[in-house]
Amino acid sequence: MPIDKISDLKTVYELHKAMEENQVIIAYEGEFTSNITQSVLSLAEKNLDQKLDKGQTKRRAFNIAVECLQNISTHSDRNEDFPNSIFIIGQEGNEFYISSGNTIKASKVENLQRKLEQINNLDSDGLKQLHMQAIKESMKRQESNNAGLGLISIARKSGKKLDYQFVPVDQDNSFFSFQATFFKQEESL
Amino acid sequence: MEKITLSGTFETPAVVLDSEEGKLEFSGRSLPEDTTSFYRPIMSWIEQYLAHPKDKTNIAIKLEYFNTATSKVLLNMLTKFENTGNVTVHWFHYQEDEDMLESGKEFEELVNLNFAYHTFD
Repeated sequence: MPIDKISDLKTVYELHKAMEENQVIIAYEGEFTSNITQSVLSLAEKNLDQKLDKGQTKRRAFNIAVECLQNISTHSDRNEDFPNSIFIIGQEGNEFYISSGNTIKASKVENLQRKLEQINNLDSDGLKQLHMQAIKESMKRQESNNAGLGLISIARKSGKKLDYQFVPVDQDNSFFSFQATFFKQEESL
Repeated sequence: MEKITLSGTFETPAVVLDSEEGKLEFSGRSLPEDTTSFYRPIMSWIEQYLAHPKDKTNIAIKLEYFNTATSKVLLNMLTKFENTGNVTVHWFHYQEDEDMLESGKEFEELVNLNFAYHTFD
């Protein structure tokens, strides 16, 4: 559905309604500089504190939010045509989702897809092993690329399969949509 | 050697590096995207300390949150103490925070150092 210009007040209402219907807790769309990432994270934390109290679920949620946001700012391939990324936290009953979307070079899709498939094929013990192996390897190579580790960490905190999708936006670029979900646990007293 | 004391921020931990006491302490949270600029001075303090370490060194990790970039720095940091005698890593976690306890156990598997586990009061 094509959306009217934002200057049309109807669009403001439509967006507001869409976000309410999807129980969006926080959504940011735009450029992700490190200052902005920190502000979004701070806002995300305040909202998670409100929704989840300060227990284990909140800690896991916050960890996922950190890695998602840092994946965006570290790994998206921004350019003039696609400067923006998106970050969303939402809730459906006891289920929470943390989503990100950003443009990456089409040439990176295959490798990223392979990593995600590998992660989704493992149970929690398998993820632990993969995490240990990945951290040892990253030490050896001293590379700054943490994508593998970040995704493994998200999968471990989430305890569920990672959802993702790649949509080609032009010949050289794809839009990478990513979502981690988790359930609010009943905190034991 | 100079004692280093840093206050915590939204994304960096409070740090105490005390060579007289043989004590290193990190508390709060460590979430920086770019770990290098924050941890470089800490690493060079550690290099200096390891040239003349105390008989006993206690490293307290009292973090509630750390990101994956920090976990690499922590592993790198702890590895540096492997050839120094009598080092104990005091790993703190909230009673119900089984993830943080498990993280400690993973670091214990990865480095050759003594670990002691403590819960926050």
